[in-house]
Amino acid sequence: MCSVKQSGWRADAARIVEELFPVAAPSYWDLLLDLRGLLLAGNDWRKTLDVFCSCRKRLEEDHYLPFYRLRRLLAVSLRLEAVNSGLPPWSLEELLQKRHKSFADIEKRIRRDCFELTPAGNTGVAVRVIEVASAIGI
Amino acid sequence: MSTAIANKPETSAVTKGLKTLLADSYALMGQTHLAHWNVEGPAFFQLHTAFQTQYEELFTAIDDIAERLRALDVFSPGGLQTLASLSSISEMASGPAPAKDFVAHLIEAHETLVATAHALRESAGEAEDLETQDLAIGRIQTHQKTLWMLKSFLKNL
Repeated sequence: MCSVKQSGWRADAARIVEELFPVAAPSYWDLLLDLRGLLLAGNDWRKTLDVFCSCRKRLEEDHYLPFYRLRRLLAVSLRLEAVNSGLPPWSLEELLQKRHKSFADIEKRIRRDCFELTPAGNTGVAVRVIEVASAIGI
Repeated sequence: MSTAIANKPETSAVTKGLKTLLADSYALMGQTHLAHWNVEGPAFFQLHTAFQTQYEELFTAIDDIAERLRALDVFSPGGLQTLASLSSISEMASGPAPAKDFVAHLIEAHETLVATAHALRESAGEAEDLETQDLAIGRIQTHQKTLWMLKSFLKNL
């Protein structure tokens, strides 16, 4: 595996994942490779967050600091939006403080918020992940 | 080796480095104080006490850094707004957070301080200002020791 030469938040995040390889059990390497690849070059943020949740569930207990750093990078770089809900985007900072098992779990939480916050109580809204441009270079 | 003080102290790299170190240390003291107040959970007593020891040490260090600036005939920056504008330490939200997040946040801040003190150590060395270099080395040692302690707390044995 080549070390990341790019710059920007995606490269920073991929570098943090790389630091996990020497300390994580080999049985987790495939999952970590997936996360690294998605962070570096992926365009499916739902999948990226899903794989992040999977890695976190398995590895955070023994490697808290790298996952804290990843959470911080993701939280300043991505926002979640409930499409056509009229509600402002959700910050990932608070959402990622909870140990969601998957992206579907995060989606469920947003739909529950929509139900509580919108007059129509819409629980079927689509959730979209947006990359925040200003996060580049943090 | 003799000790030299820069001819234009107000604009020298040493002065700028000292001001950054002062601002970052002040910001870290504020963040450590925040952690001391808001940390919760089973490790409360341990962390509450450890954070107090850390912000008290920083309070003394900040005085030393500011007084080094005065010894170089430079006025020290002060006030929350001014110091915040000079610092790159990020702030933690003041809401509830897992105790380990407070520790991880402070680790990142101490890492920034090590980098800031390293830069000051280098510029003080180039300016042959041994007293400032000694101060920077002392700060690096203290922050590295605190990093060891905080990182040890996060280990899951």
